[in-house]
Amino acid sequence: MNVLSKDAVLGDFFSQSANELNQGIQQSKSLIQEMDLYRGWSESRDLEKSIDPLPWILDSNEIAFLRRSVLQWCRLLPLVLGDLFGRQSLVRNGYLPGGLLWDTLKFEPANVGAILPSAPSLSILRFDMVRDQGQWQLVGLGTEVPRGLGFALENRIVHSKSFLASLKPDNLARLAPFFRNLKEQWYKSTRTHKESPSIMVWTLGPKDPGYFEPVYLARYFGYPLVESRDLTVRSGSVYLKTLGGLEPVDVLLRWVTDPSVDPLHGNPGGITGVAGIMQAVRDGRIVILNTPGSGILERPELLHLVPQCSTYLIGEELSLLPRPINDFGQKDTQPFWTPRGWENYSTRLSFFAAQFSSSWEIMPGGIAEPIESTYRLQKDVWFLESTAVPQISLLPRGESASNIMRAGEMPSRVADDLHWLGRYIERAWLDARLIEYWRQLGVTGGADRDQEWESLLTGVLIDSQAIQLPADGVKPRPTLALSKDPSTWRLSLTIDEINRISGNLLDRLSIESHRILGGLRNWRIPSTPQDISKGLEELSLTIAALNGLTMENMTRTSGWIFLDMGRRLERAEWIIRTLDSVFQHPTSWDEHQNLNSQSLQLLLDIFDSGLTYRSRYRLTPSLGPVIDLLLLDESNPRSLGFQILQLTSHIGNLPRKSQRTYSSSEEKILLEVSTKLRLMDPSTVNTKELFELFTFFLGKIDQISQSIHESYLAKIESAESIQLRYKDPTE
Amino acid sequence: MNYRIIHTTRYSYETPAALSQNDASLEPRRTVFQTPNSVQWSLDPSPEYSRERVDYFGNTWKSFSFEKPHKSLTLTVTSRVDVTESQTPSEPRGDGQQSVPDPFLGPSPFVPVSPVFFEYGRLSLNPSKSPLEVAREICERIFADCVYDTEVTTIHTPVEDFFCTKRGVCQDYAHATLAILRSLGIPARYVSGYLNTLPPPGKEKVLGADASHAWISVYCQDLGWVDMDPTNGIMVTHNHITLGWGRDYGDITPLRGVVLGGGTQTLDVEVSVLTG
Repeated sequence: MNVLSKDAVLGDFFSQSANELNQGIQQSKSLIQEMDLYRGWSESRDLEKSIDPLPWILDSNEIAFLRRSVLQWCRLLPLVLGDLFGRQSLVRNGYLPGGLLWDTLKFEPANVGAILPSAPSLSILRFDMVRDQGQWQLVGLGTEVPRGLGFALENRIVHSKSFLASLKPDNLARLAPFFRNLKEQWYKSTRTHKESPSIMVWTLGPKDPGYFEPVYLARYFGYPLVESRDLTVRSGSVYLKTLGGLEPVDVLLRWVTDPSVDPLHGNPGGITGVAGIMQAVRDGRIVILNTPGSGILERPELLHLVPQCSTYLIGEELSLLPRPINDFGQKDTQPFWTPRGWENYSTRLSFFAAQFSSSWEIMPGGIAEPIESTYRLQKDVWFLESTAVPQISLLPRGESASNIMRAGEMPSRVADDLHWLGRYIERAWLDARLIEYWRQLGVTGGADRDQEWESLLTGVLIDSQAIQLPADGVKPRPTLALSKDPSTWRLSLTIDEINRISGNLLDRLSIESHRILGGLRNWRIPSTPQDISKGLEELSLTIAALNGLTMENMTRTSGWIFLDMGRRLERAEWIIRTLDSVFQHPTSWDEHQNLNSQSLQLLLDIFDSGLTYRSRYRLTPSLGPVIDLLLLDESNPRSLGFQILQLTSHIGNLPRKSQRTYSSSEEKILLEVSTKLRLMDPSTVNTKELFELFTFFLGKIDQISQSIHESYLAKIESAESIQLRYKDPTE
Repeated sequence: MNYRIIHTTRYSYETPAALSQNDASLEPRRTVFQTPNSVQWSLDPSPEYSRERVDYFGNTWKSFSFEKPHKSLTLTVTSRVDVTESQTPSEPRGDGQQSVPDPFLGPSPFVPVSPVFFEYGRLSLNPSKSPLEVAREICERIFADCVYDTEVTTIHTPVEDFFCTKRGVCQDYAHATLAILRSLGIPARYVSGYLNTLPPPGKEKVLGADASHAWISVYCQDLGWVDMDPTNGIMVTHNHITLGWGRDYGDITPLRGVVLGGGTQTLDVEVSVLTG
């Protein structure tokens, strides 16, 4: 047994060479970076976080004091909250000034009836402390959202991987038992006493600077991560909007602050959130932890008044007191390893405590950070017990984000985003290839043949909406247009959309996919003709890599199906538009009103099917075989037939609530299209028929898209379509 | 006075709305001066969910939701109320209730603190005047200084803006008066209700032409709460029917809600206050 004293551990760290310490720092930084994607958009990235090698170590005497004094606060705070939203005897008996309650603490009367006075739903509380000449002082509380809990966990994991290769004291208290108990507690916390309650982590989404923690904790606990727009209230109960329908939700671990809980609640109403969710709380149909309204406990003005409530509510003097407001005493410092060596900083510690069935328990760990420092440093906090402790871990083994949820549980919002990501990726790829092909013509231009091709291709580009016809109506030429205005290219918009959507999908795609997508974030249409080719090639390669990765690495869940359906629909539409455009173009026809072989060759080229054609027919292209290859051939991945086949198979694999007794409308339309394709005779088809078919197919593809939306995605409504009604102005 | 009040609210949507969730405080409240005899709700379509609750201030709320696609929503509340007649309509009448006026002393979301309100109110302060007299004078001044105008403000217009233009509707009058009284340390609350309007002499009362109304109530130690109507510069009498009260409009909004989908919506409100 490797039971070490605090001094022995400290001695070990201080004896390490600068080189050893810096190596550990490097290792910790790369581990942190792996999860960096989730650190939210607005969180400053220039201040790279790192973990200090030296933990703040608490010995058994300090642990005993903390446990006693923090748990005393834990017993008191729920009573304070319950009293404020219940009898208000603290105010009536003069322990809290009534004016302060309303003016300063922003007491929200709407929470009366939602917060249970006898046992408010509080799960985790955070205590921020400093030490002043050895004396612990409380400087703040976290009662609304347990910010820091995720970091405490991350720091522990990264710290032990980076610095504890040789040093692993067996008397270091583990975090895992605490988290395991938390999970058990949440499982038991529903008021409906369901056998297997569904528990979810509720986040504001990637726009929240604190996004990292809910993502990290959801993964650690294996709970679905949901945003407000994934949730809905129906008949007083809360549901997750999934592909398979509405799934009931029993417990929400919120990372959402009080004003963002419910737009129908409070005065003024919330700014965003889930309409009606507070009514579900009042009805006891959902448990939200910590209870909405608990934010009042962390207002600094209340902190200093809590001790005087203590004797009244629990008949005890508090042994841990708030730091006096005008206390300028020197806070205790701790050594941190910096590029200049060990330096001392005043340090703040955060501890966490959780409520279990009958009592509160302090998490044997925490976060320590310099109060003022130019570095973003955090320390792990160690509870060094006097004897060895048992070891367990909750870390998921090889679980990826996409299979945390079972297929049917995928939120419709995520499926919708994946569907559009698929569409935009395909659109970007098609546009990039076509523009590059067009540009090459401009470079090699000169021959008559190329000029005709160029005009034809320019027509295709405009008809497929890849580029806009300039306002002057003069068709752009590749050589000239390049130096002109690339903003007329749809590509810029498409890339913006990809970036926007992938931002919504931070927790849904693999880290590798995000790395590749990250490359698109800074992609711009190059401004000089020389760079265009390179830029377009880069883009095509990035997308090819992304497609490869999703094909190879993504589990074939509903998410993948929606991503691929997006691609197939986009391509199907593009195929028709391109064929139609070429056939409509006057230069495609020879004097005998036959499609000339040049335009057919162009089609084969832009469909990337020239090689297949030559290996099959070894002839100059003619209409029948080209139509067969590009429209009908279900084995050619560039053909319409192939896209329809794939779509049909995808639809068949999507989750469905009820037993399938009849085909869905999207299946019927797909069947209509594939029947039409299969019955077509390419050797006799005439151009008039073809144009009719193109119109027919375009209409059908639009219908399929609509029908999929109605069957699976219509349950989600964009935030803009939610109208807050504060009307009925009194006159 | 026996009243029958019919309050109809109708929302029409451009496209079917998928889900509509609502919260309404439209039932007259029992007070010293008024006794509600019956309340009848009629909802079309019929709601999938409906619940009642009583809030912190003692007002009754109804929450209801429509969960099937609907192109319109009609809500009619018909209530019968008996209001005690005032023998001396120009004299303040207090309800004699003793209460802790804490919530109604300081700023609230729609009633901010600002020196302009104190400056305005200060002119009515005089050691010889009781808070009731001060409040009454301020109501009369607000009535005299402001112009009733439905075109200038919306419910989102800050009360400071109203106080600049001095043009607005009864909510603005009430909020401004509350801001002034509270800045002088006089507890005052917002009251939501109806006003029995009398038709012009010789004319029949037009159905549906009445409206919701709002006024204030001032806490005066011995008299309890005394209601005053700054929009009309009068003391509240048997012509006012109370729905409920709170710190401001935000606490006692007659009807608020969220609708999913539906496109552009149009709103029609009809109120009839009938006697007998």
